[in-house]
Amino acid sequence: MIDQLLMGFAAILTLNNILFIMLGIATGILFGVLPGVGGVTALAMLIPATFYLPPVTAIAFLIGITKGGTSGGAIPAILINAPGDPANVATARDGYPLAQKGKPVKAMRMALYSSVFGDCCSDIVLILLAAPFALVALALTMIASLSARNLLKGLIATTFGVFLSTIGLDPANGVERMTFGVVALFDGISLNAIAIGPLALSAVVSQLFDLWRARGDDIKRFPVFDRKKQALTFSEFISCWRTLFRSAYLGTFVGMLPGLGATLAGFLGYSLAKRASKTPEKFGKGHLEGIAATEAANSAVMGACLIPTIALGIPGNLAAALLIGAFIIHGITPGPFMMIQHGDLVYSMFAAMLVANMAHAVIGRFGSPIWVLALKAPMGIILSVVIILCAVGVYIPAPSLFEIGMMLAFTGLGYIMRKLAFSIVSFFMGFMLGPMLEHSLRQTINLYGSLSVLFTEPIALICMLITLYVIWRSYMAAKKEKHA
Amino acid sequence: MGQTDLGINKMPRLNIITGCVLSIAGLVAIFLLIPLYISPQEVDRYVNSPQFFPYVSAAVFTLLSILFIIQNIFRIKRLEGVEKEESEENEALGFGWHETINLGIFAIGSAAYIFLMNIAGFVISSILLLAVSMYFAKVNKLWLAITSIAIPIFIQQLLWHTLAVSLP
Repeated sequence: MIDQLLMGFAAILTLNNILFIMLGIATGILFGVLPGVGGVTALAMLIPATFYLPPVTAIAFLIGITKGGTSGGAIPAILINAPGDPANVATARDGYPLAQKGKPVKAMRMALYSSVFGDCCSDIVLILLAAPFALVALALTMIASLSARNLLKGLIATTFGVFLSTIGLDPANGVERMTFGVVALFDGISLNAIAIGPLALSAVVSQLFDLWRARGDDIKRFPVFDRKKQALTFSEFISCWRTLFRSAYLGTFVGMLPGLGATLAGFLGYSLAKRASKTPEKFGKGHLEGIAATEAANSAVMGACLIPTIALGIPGNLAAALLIGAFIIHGITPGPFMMIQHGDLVYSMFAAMLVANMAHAVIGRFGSPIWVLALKAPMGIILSVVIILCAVGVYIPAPSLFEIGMMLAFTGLGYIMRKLAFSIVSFFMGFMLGPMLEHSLRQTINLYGSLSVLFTEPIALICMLITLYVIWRSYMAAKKEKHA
Repeated sequence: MGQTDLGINKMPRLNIITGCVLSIAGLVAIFLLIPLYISPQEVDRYVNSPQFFPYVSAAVFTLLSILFIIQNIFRIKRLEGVEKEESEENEALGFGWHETINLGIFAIGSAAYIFLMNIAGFVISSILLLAVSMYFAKVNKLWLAITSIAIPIFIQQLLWHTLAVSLP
């Protein structure tokens, strides 16, 4: 493994790759800084742009975006109490009060270094743990039950995604399925249209309408500060080592389970740190430990969520799902055979992640004036420009107005789903995993004659029992919540 | 926020309507879409038929939608409407007049954008789209003018000179 990792470093340490990693980090932070836009929007929008890059460079660039996006959201949380991402909500609890005390830069540095620390820890776990294994039905159920508060809504969204994935030519016999004679649909609905429309653009459109209906200005008032008080000393950072390790461990564990996500990790990290602290009364009043706890936990999710992605081909969260899309665009099929067939690329990706962590600390530290400047830009301009970028993003890999039309249609669908609380993440993952599910179902029935094998073979039976347990657990959790 | 927030108690009613629409969509898929638009093939096992998996997914979708209706009928009967639902990104939930109008505006805008791009090209259609959306977002008129003209031209030139991609 060490040899492969060294070869990965050799592949990644070229000027071109390092520049793309840095560009990705800067882009991720810039998008992460903008409340409601976020690093995932940047990822969805820029995946098609990597079409022209070699696979290693493309993956390195996208890894850079995901890394940058993890810490970018903390900046508006600290400066204007408006988290860039739900995962940074808990960061605002101590970050904003600290900024109000005249130490916004100190708070931002603590958030950045904690984020890099958490990310590093989970990357190491990822490198050590990624191993082949596959359980599709269980993963789908877990994703549906965990990413949506209402299990049925999650499952409906997932099944709808699976149904849409059947459009196009049948993979076994090449028969047209619901293509209506449209040649552009022969390869199925474009992954880019589904990724960019409902995930990125629908959020932007929703916010634009909010701005239209909102009264008053959106002038952001930044805290005034004294430059001399902004230094974050090494002893201040290291004094939080227990919290940092606890949060990194917690975030890594949360990240390994598909569908849980960075928001939960952030809140859990914060509340555990508060509970374990000897001075819990300081939390919520600008305590550095509160920022460290949240940022280390939510950033640790990113590396760990790639464990099921690489090992099973099952995305751990939305960013991982988008990375699977990027892998597919570059001719790589994530899953149990990825390590065998594309081991060199996987280890290059691991190396890119470690390099990106270092670059993240440097770019985040020295680029802070730029991120603050981006935050000052009026949201109306940013959101409008993102619409155009989304249209361009979907047009680059498949130059056709039909693709843009599809993306806009799915944006409308995404808007409806958002307003009715149907999980877009479940929908997207259903679409991504649908072909794999169809293939597995066909293979199982062709090999064993019927689906009864799911209840007779020991491993299959265990998977089915776990699936049923997840459904039952989700139902009981909802019931308990109702009575609480 | 200026959005329709139907209130937590009304969510089950909206869910029932949504469930009905979804069930009908599922039935349309099963009885019209799949039989009309996927030709059945002679195969050794039905599982290998191109219709098999679409039927399975549409049937599960319809079944879940019906269960969803039943679940929400029970919620209303037991007066359990107080259960809180949340969106993934903590948005205000509900689908009322505001959202219908928003969706209508978006649909018209999208159709106009595609139509304009087809006849006038990327730059002109994008300038108009940017101008309209920034006007809606109450952006300062000077910024509106500068950005809506500069950004599409910049993107077009950037893509042409870096990736040799020609936008329409």
